[in-house]
Amino acid sequence: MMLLNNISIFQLQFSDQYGILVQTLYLLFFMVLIFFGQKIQFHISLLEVGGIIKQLSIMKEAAKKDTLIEIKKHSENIDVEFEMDRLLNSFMILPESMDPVGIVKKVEHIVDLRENRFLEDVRKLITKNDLEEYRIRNLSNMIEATLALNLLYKILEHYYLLAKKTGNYFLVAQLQMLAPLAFNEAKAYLYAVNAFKLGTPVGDSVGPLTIHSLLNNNDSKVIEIKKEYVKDTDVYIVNRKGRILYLVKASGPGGNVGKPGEAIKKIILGLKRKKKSIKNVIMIDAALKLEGEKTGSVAEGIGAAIGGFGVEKFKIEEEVTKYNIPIIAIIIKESFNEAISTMKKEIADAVLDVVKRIDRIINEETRENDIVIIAGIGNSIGVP
Amino acid sequence: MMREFILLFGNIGIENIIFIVLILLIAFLLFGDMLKKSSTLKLAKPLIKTELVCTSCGLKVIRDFKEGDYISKEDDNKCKKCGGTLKIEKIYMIETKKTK
Repeated sequence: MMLLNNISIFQLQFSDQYGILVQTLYLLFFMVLIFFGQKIQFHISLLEVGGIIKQLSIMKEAAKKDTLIEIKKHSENIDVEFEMDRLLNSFMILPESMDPVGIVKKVEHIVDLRENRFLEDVRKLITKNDLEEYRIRNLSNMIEATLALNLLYKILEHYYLLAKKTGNYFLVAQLQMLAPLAFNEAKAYLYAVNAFKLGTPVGDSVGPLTIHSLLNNNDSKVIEIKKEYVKDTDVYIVNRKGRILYLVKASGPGGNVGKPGEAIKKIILGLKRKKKSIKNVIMIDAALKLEGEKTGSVAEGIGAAIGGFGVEKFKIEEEVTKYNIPIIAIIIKESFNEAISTMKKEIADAVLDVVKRIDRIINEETRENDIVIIAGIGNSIGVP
Repeated sequence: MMREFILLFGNIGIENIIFIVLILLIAFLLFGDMLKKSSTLKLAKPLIKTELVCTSCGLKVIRDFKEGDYISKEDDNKCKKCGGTLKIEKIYMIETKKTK
């Protein structure tokens, strides 16, 4: 009874004081939120983006370390780190498009020049002469993936620091929205570094892999092999079910996309000179899937299925339009991450489906002795 | 004991209790999310497999990927069934556990 009485007295005093305290805190909380709400949000967002930038930095350093170790294995050059940094900071300026006449030639010239110089620079780094050509190309691809990751990190860091410096909430809010996507892309580049280091086929290699599968199929009889038909691109002439197939793919097994557009153009012009007609052009390529789509699902359509800067696509479209040749595209769907990481089983298994579709198309649309050009577009890493 | 507790805090008022609980919840969500985001970077470790096929009997063999493997490369090992040549037909990745 005594205890209850004491509590009742204390309760009266405590609840009064506590009530005032809570009311004051409540008011203070609202005042802070009203006047400093955006500032608080800015710092919370900055903290979150800062965390992602830190993780990107770890990924970038891991990729650089891996690449450096790989180069040092085959190089006696003391300045390897300096040379690699020079490569990682290299850039390419695309031609002016204000006057678009002749822009394709200009883009091709700049892109070719950049690719050649990059490969030559990588070759200069390898001083031990113990690497096969295809492995030098893989190393070059590995450095390119590291370069892409490094660039992504530098861009995000630039906006992060700019937002921090200027206290611009809207800049950091945009970064906060984009950072998870950029993080996913960075993860893909890190996987790509690993794939190029090992020399495994990547998701994008599904086009060349289909050509390889067609070539080594029991129903195909090889008539002629034209290695380096055009720069970094091979052409195989094959008889399949009575049809003459011109199979085009980038030279492998080194990481390389070749010049399939140039090869198709040369084949068409060569055949036209001999007064021969081409019944169909079939292009096989990996394509970006939508989130709900299944990896490795196959779809057919019309048009030139090829990515890049558009030079090769332009060449193919020019020739097929000029000679009125039907052009069919078969795409294998995959995400960006899957396209540059080691090929997934679902994608490798899709090759069989693509071959069946090619057979169906040539059976339905061509007759014996007809000529069909089939091009497997993509990086031929791990696919000879 | 319960009676004493109710007597002591009974008059604080429901709105104040909600207010305190809300603040605690916001703090938990905010710091929990931050801790989750700044935790160690974890990536799935890719498990790469090489699928070989015997050119004579068609036997399929799957083994771990070895550096230097590429499609159609002849393997050093011979087919266990007929002694024929094993050729690499597929190289693919299987995603497994998460790793640091």
